[in-house]
Amino acid sequence: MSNSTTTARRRGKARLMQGNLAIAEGAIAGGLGFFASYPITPANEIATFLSRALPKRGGVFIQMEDEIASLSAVIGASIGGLKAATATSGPGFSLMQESIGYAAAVEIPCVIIDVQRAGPSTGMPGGPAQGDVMQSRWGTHGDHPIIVLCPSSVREAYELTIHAFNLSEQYRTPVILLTDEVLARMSETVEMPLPQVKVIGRLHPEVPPEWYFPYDNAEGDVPPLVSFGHGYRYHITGLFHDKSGFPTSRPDEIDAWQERLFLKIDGNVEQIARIEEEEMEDAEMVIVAYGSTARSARHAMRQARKANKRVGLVRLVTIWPFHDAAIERVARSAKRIVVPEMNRGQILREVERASRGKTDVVGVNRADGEMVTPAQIMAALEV
Amino acid sequence: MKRRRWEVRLVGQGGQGLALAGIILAEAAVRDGKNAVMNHTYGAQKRGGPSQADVVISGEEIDYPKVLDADLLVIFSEAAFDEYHHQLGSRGFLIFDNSQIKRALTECDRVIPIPFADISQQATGSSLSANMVALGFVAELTKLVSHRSLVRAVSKHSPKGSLQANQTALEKGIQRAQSIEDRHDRNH
Amino acid sequence: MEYTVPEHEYLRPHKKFPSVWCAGCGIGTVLGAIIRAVRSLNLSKDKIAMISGIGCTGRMPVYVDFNTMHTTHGRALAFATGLKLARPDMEVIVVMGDGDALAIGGNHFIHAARRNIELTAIVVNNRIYGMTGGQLSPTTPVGDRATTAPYGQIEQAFDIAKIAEASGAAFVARSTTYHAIELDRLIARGIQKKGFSVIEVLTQCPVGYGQLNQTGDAVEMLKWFRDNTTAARGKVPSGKIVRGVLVDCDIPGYVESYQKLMKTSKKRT
Repeated sequence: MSNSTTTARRRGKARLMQGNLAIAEGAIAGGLGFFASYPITPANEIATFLSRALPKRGGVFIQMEDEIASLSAVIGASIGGLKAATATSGPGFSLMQESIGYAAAVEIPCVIIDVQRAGPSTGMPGGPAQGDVMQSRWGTHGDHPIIVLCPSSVREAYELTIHAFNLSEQYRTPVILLTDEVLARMSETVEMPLPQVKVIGRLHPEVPPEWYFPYDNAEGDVPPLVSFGHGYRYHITGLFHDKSGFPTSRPDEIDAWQERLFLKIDGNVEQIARIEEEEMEDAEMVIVAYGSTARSARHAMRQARKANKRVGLVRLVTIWPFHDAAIERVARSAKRIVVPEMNRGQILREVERASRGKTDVVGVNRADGEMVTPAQIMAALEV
Repeated sequence: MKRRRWEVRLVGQGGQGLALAGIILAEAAVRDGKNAVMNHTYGAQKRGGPSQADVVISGEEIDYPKVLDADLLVIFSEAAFDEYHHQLGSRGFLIFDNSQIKRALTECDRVIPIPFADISQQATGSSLSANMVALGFVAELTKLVSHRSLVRAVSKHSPKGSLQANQTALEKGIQRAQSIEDRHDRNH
Repeated sequence: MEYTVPEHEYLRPHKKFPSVWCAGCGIGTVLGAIIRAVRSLNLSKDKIAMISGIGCTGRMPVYVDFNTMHTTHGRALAFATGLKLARPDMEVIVVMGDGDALAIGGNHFIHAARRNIELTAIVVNNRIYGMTGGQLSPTTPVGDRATTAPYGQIEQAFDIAKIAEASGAAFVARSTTYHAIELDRLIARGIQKKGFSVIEVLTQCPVGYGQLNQTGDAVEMLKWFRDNTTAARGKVPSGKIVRGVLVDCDIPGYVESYQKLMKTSKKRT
């Protein structure tokens, strides 16, 4: 989201673009070679666009029999050497959880786009929500690291989609682009040209096949990954595995692998987690927001500033890994932190935890399929 | 009519082309160098269910993307009329298609009945372009977007088969607004 | 036939044996047949991928020196679909048990067949869940016992070959671990077939299925396969299970069709 108070720009330097299309175009710009999905509202426009665009570019689009198959095929295509992604919404995202854990454990890059809708269950297919925040973090069984990005504007959705592919390759991990119904289906002005993001490819091993170990901790946080069919024949399994990829039950090997698996994300929070601060220099009250709710937050902040209230905004572009240090820093100086979300208080818990009791943390929550309004946030700033 | 943030809400039922009208209005604003957001919400059915297209236009960045207090509430069906007409805020105008909606309503400065469907029927032989009549009417009344941008946006987004009818309907809507303005000028 | 590669060259060089399978298990026989089939076709190990799901059969890829992937329960065909589309030049062999392929993975099985995607699916059918302790599977015959069917199975068993045929597979065959040489040839034909190939292998599980159903030991079970099956030639005696090629038809494979679609899509705006 550009934070300038843009005045009218020259004609022709902008495009009206829908959020879901920005994601689809961002995926192509990010190097997407394979897309598999199952129909679900409100994510459908992504598949519709890609079913037309990918074959022309030599890429693969396939509509699978369900969301489990979709993500499984994506992981298979990724180990086949293509950048691969799927897109879904709440119910489908729930079905994908086992495969997300698999991708995390075997360290195969992939991108999962979750266009959040109101839930639980079928909920309100056309109503926005941010109820999958914790599911995106802890939805699969077992401890695992994950990267989750939340765009707040159509332009940012485009940019973060490319970024998601980059992070996924760079850290050999599934990356979740957690968007929502508001952003997905709205069309808005996007300044042209679109953001130019350098596309990062897979780090290939420099060693010959006989020296290659796909899970070698000695190779650093992220050992190189070679795709199938290049002469490096090795094994991949969701079982705990040793450095060569074969199953192991040795606690020393498992422990060392898990250490590295977590370290590669948690040890790089400063590099991975993007936080944007606005009007924070003198802020006494701080709104911490993400996704489309950050737009309600910005509206409220501007209203408050007009009334000479010292209100700042901290926007979480990356929600996982959670940037504890940034929130603690804010908590030290702020009189109150207000956390608006379209759920019953999921990031609120994280903000409370990271604040370590240093300030008052208040949630503004609704999960009824409507956006949090600026007025609701204003009210929470008043109390 | 120069205001920082303009909010237009079009409501009716699926099949009336409200999303298309919303997209064209937003696209025209973008062509004029303004910021725009268009949101379309609808029921499970593609035809006949409720349909709502919200357009926000501003010279500045649009943060909150939804309608807070509509400047214009344009209603295309009786069901939508019953559901929405009371939502008209303190400053907005209510425009409704009185060839579709037979409701007794005290006419006042802020309530404008226009027979969009009838105008479309007379001009194009079909009521399907009522959305374009409304679009032309709204654009001319508010001067939200330039004629040039509007015409281009209509050309870009109209299916080949209906481009001619849409253009005709758009102009009829514009003329209707002009005639109201003329009357208004004469009266004052 | 002249072989350029010795059989053991297809096994992983690092010692992975003894295998995880119980003494008398038939899965090793299927593994041997796959290796002999691959060897007879002179395929490069680099161009072969073996994908498995979960269960006893799921452990098979560890032993072979291919590009191997042990995936999640039931989803091997979906993973393989992605891999095959990314690498159409590779031969992708999918090994699954009966529960893996037809219970939890039943949906993927019928859709892989419907798409007729160029994969070779080998279903090792021992009619029971071995690894988890002898539970009933979708191929457990009516009346047979399982640890979760202590009074006998009351559900009808799936006929894997019929499902594959009805779902659209281009090649469907059946054999048993008793008929190992026949199995080699059927697997080789399945790999060569352009389209989705299914090879069902009736396999003994003397520890899980055998003990619960008093079938006798592995040898007795193999004899049962010998005495109760018949080749798919001529008149089939009643009560016998048919072995051999059951379906072999030429219909376009998914990858082939997709590659055509890619070409035509480029011409369209």
